[in-house]
Amino acid sequence: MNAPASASPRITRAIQVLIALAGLSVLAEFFIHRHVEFSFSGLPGFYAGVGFGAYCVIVLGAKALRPLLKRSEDFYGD
Amino acid sequence: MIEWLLHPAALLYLAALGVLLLPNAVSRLLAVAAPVGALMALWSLEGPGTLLMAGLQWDWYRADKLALIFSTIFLLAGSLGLLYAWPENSRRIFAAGLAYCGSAVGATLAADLPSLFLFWEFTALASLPLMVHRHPDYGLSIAALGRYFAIQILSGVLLLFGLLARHQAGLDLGFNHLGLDSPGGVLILLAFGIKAAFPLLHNWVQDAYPRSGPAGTVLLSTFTTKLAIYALIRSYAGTDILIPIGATMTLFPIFFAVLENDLRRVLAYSLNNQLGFMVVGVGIGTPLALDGAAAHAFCHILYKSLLFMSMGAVLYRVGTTRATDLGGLYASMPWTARFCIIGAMSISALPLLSGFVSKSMILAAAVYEGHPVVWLILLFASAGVLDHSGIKVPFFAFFAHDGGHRVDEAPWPMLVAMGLTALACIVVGIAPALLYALLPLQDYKFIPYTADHVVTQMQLLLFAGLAFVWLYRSGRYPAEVRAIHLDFDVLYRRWLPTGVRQLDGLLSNWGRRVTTVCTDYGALALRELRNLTNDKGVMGGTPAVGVMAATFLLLAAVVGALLL
Repeated sequence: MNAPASASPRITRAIQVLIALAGLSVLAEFFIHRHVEFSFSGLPGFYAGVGFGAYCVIVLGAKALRPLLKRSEDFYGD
Repeated sequence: MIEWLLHPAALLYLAALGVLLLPNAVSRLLAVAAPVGALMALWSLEGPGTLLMAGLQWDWYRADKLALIFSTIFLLAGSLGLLYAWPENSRRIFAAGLAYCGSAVGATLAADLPSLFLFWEFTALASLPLMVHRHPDYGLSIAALGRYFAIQILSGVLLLFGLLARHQAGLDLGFNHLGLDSPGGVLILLAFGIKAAFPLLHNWVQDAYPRSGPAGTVLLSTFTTKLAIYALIRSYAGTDILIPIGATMTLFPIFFAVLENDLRRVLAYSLNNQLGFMVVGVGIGTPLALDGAAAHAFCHILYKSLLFMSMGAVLYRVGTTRATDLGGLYASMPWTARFCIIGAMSISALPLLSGFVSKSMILAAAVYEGHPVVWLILLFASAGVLDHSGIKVPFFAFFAHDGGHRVDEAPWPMLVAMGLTALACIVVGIAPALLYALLPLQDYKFIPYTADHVVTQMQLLLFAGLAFVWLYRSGRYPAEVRAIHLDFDVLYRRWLPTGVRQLDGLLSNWGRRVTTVCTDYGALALRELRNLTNDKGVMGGTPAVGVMAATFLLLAAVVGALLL
């Protein structure tokens, strides 16, 4: 189990900066000219949603696959 | 005949020989200088080179723009990789590295399929000494060595059959566009596909590369797979089936990269995923897509070398790259950590770094050609890249919980090699025009740095980063565990051998049973015969019956022997 790192002030600070930047990147979308690739990608925050959603699907999907695929390190013996 | 020596491959082969013969101090200098010299020779080649040999005309090189950009990056990466190899101080690595680099450049410059075949096999041969390495975690596995070599040679054999099929059909043997419909087309695509690590043909990359040493893996990760991408661009541009193949390659290695414990094997999965982006570009086949594939190969060689260098430095100092054993190395190896982060952010396509200016070309091409599903897959895969290469590799090696290792910073040649490679990633990211000027086609309009593009990419990366923070801090991020995870190679590493053994057991078991049945019934029949033929038997006393019985016995013996 990954024990969540104890929240040192530096880590807390870094996370706050990350959240602020993420918020800014969504706001910035309203001030720029978008060349919309496909109709669905023109939705505000589309990339934010894909980034967050895809990341969770990948990590949790892989985690769900683990019981199926996991073997001991010397499974192959080479 | 002296012009022979101006071929970059010939120069590097000579240098490889020199490395083996010259004093140690000279040989390491030669290892780094030779690719640079070959680079100068490369750029002074003019037009197609034609040689007359024994009355036969042979095009001994073709230095067009596509060949030039790939040869150039091969030589640059070769020089950097061999500088990185200094601390290991092994003539085996220097000589093999030079010969391997020379073979890759030779294949790139090949103008016909027979020359390509020769250099194709030479890359396999020259790379083999790099695989002969006693890894602290894996030891030296002869079986793994055999698997690697067999698969490399199989690719060459398919290429040979393909070119023979073309020859038989009376076609020319030029190394040009082939396509799937021409004779030998499928065979040659398979040959390239093995080395490009197409889905289900891919496992040799993750099996073999992480077993090599620090410098060995850096060199291995550079040449073979990107040579295959070059060959695909040359011969299969616009082959539709490459689009789904490439898209699959971007997707499924991600999941294995998330689970894998050995960080250099994580990078091998990530290498596979990056090749997928290039294969999609080749499949789309428009000038923007093809240049995108070439540009991405160029950038990829740099940041992937850098990532393998940083993890190689960790292997060199700590003796393992298992995530479960690492963590907290930032305090001991701060420069290695910084260079690793530059590589990690480059592969994640952070604006101002190299991956951003090349990957965006392929994504843009997917948009222009109307492939929304492929585009979405590539976007999805980009979030995956941020996880396994962008976050996981640097985080679990240098931060996370302290693994308790107190080691020295990487030796200076490794640091210089990493520093120069990192610098190249930054320069290409800041001034992409330098890279774009090298691209073969250039007949399109593409600007990587638009406000739109930068903002959307930052959204993607920042929110994926937030997802990591949330998953990790809530304990949902899968823990690193000392385990392996089954991939497709379980088929030929476990199931097939076990299956054959079981089938063998089953057959010999049946054989025994059949024999038992025969001998049992044979004995019974003999007894009955004896009873029948003795004096008291119904048929006793007649010589004819004795002959009949003897014949029957003989027949039974023959049948029994056959069955046995």
